[in-house]
Amino acid sequence: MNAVLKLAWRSLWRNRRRTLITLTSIALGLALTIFMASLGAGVYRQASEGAVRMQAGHLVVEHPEFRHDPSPAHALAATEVVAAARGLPGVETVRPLVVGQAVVATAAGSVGVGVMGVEPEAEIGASPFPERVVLGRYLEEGDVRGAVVGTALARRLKLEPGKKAVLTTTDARGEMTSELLKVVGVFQTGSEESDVFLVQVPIGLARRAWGLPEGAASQVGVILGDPDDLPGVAAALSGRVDPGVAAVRTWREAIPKVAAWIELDTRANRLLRVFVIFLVGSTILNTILMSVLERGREFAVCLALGTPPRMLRAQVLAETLLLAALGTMAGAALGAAVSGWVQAHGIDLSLFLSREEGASGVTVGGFMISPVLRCWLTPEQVGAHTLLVFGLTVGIGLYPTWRSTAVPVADLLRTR
Amino acid sequence: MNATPKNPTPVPRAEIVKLEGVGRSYGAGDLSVHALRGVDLAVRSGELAALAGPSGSGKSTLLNLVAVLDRPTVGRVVVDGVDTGTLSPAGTSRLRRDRIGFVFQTYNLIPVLTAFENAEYVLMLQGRPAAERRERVMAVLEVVGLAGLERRFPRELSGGQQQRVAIARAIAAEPALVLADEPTANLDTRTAGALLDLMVGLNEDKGVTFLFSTHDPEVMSRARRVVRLRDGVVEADEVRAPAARARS
Ligand SMILES: Nc1ncnc2c1ncn2[C@@H]1O[C@H](COP(=O)(O)OP(=O)(O)O)[C@@H](O)[C@H]1O
Ligand SMILES: [Mg+2]
Repeated sequence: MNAVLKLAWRSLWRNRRRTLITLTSIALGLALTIFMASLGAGVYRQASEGAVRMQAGHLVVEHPEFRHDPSPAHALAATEVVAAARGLPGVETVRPLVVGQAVVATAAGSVGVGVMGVEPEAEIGASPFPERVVLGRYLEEGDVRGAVVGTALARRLKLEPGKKAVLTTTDARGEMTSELLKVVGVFQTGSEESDVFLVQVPIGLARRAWGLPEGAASQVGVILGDPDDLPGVAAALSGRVDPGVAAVRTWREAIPKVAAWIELDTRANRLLRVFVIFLVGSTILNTILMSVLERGREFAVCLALGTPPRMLRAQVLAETLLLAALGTMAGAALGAAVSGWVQAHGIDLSLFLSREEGASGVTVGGFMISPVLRCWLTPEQVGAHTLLVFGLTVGIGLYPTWRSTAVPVADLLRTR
Repeated sequence: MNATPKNPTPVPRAEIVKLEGVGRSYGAGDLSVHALRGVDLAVRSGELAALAGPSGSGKSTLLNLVAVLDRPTVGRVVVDGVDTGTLSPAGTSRLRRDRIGFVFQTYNLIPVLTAFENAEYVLMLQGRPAAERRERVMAVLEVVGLAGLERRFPRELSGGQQQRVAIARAIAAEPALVLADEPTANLDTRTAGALLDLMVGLNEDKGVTFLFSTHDPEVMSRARRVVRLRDGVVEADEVRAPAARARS
């Protein structure tokens, strides 16, 4: 065994250049796939987090019919749900929301908008809007008629902090209602849907507008500290909610556009990684096979001296294992280091974007994500890719291993 | 066979190699090549026999058959009392490892092993303890005149030195028989003579049995027995007094 390892190790370094090139391609290939996987995970996380926080949350509790008919009539008595959700471990914020369609009018004109009635204190830190206020301030507790609007809407209706507008809608019983709004702030998210069509008001005002009782909400959004806790919290919450009264949905169901984009991009990313690994694999096959074929005479000598064929095969396999082990160790370390750095520092893409775009970010399915890309590295990614590349290298080495002793010994030894 | 008064070789004993009606042909039909045709040959323990003949006469084929690296098309090859036709693959490896030493014309040595490790190789295959290996290898390297060069790699040795390492490796495990396929063909005359002196010395002093091929008349003249091959047939089998040790 010792002798086999010694022979394998020295044979590996006999052609130093080739071994280094092979090791480099294994390491770079593995590092690249780890980076691609973790960057993908990071971007999906940013995208889903961004979208999730602009919408209700990672989980949404809503009237079972709300998905098909998001009318104020499909609201639920949310007090108990809110309390139940607040008591669950892993839950960061619980946001009761009243959402609906309305028309906002000023002297400058009128625009159909989406209205989101919120509890201001629950929004801070949970949704991006408080941080995206560019003029005035965000809603505060005690605001009764306060409203924040997007920049594009403000421009169209000539709104600014201090200005008034009238919100008109149809309530749950089909009656026309109007509420006076007092704009306190203007936000800019970079997402057209929000900046043109969204108005946020205190939840009390929204309840009044749609004739909903105290404690009613169209949706209860649940924001998690760690999105990976989603399945557990979803299960726990479902257990506490009467399915006849309310449905618990994950953001994937609630924001299918973003979920679909992530799904698609995940596939593309995986395909690219398969391609990289395929390239690495063909390099490995090439070099190992070449190193075996050019040693035919040497192997013939060993066999003629009485070396058992399985010992020669063990040597070639050991060479492959050493290559695979060294290459994947280097690759895993490099991939983890690069991904870790990008996770900590980010890659700022705003340099490559036009000014306006760069100012706010990149939109995905109508939702804005930060132009600073960050990886999301997990031990599973590193482990799975390392195992994959290691296994592939060893698997590829099996053919050359078999070839090493399938040599025409007598012919190779014949004096020419 | 017979001993001459001048060289008191030990009396030849058991037959180490026996070929009976051995033929080896390649290909089939009209295109087939008969490398060996009906060869009968016996080599006894203690002999130093040269296989002579022009290129293509079948020397390598014969040596490969004895080492069981090749199988005869017809006939029987018996090595050390074993009919090689009955050997399993594992038995074949064991026969080569334990009973036969092999020296080739060139590129004999494992390039990634030092002179010491090359000479040690067969002992390592046999699983002998390190101390015993060391003792034996140091002794045979001394015998072949390479003391002090143990740590050199093959590329750091001259052609003649490499062949000496190959001989050291072949004899380290004290095989019944050492086969050598044109061991001097790639050496200059002087070095070839010295290598032959080594082989003759090992044969006379230690009783190592050699069967080697050559097409060099000078090398042939140093062997007590010369088996001449031509077109795969034994043309002559002469036992006579060899020329004196030259240039040593
Ligand atoms: N694999 C083979 N296929 C066809 N012919 C072969 C093969 N090996 C050897 N021969 C032929 O067998 C004959 C004997 O070859 P060989 O034993 O190598 O001769 P020598 O060693 O005396 O030069 C030659 O004619 C050679 O061309
Ligand atoms: Mg030959």
